[in-house]
Amino acid sequence: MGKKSRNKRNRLEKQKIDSNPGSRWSIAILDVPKKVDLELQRNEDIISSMHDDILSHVISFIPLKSAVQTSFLSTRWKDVWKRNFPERKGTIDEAFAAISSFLLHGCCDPYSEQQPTSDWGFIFNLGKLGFITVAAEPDTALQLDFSNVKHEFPWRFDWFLDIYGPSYSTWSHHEPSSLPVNVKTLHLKSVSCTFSEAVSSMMTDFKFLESLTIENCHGLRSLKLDAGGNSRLKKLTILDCQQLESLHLDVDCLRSLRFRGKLLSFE
Amino acid sequence: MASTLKKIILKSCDGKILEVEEAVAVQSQMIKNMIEDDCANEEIPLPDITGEILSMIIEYCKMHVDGENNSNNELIARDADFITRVDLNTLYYLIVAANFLNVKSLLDLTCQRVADIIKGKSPEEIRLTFNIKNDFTPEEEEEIRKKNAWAFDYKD
Repeated sequence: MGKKSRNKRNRLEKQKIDSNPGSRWSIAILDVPKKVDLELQRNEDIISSMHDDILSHVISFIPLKSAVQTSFLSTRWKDVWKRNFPERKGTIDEAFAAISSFLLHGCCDPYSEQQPTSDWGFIFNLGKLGFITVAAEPDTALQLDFSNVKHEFPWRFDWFLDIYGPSYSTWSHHEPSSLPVNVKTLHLKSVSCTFSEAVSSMMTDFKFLESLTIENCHGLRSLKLDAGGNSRLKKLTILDCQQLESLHLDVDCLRSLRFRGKLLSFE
Repeated sequence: MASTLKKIILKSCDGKILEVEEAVAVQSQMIKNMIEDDCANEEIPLPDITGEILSMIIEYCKMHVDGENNSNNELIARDADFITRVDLNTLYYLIVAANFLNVKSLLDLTCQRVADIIKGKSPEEIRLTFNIKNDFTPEEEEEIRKKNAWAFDYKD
């Protein structure tokens, strides 16, 4: 610590407190304080030296997009944004109930009185199976990451996804439990055979979906996507699904399709 | 002592002694616990917290005790006034001290302030503001870009 200069404003602040006799505080300076260096080196990175808990707390105050962006800063920041996700435990069914609850109520457990530590994500622990990471920006983006789930069998599967658009007739016929959820961007990562059906049925509630990304789904052999009628799906991205052989799309207003990987048949 | 109210004596790392009324001192959960455990009868040494930072924290806690009867909006306005007067270096020390003393509302306020500084800035701008050195290799950077592309797929 080289510099000896003190923060002038702080000193003024203190004088203000000291010179306020009517205050409930009395600050008695009984000792002559040593000069303390409050000024850091100009190029010192102060924030990165803070404890993980503090950094996650800071990040919990910013929107998801900015939070994710902090992972670009440096290796220190890479995973900080998702470090503080609350964790829940349960079965696969409970996991999907928690996801719905999170999208509708902003909290993975509506019965819990505990405030969520992070507003935009949680981890669902499936015990021996591993865990699902859920990150969402309310009313915009949702990511379901299954890459930390153990896939005990390399089962190959055919996936059928039906994406409905908003229509008043379907709303009124729906049971009250499944409300339309305002997710515009959905990113599905490493969905396996075990979860494909649950994901399909969850997606029937996403009536405002505009962009869908399916990435690294191990075992996915064929994908049939039906987004007709009122569907608002404009953008589809399929990345690195190594076993995908056939893709069948029935889409009305799709404007952009991005595909990475090898493909045998396309309809 | 003129006042009959109980005072808590705090000692900063640079040797400054501050006498604080108990009602104000218990805004710090750490000090509150010490009082409950009957460990606050002598001066409480606070390593890593300078007299200046401690004075600021006391000012903040006092503001909250005095403002108990004020409207919520008024307190929010005072908080905002308090925090915008603080520069980045001081903010850092305040966060560390608020965390140590466990003054939750101040920790929230200071962390929110850092969050506000980060919000809306590009990674490069954030690095410049906080002197963060980009230590990624181009390959690592590309990897992270790929991994997090989903979050940038929508408009604000």
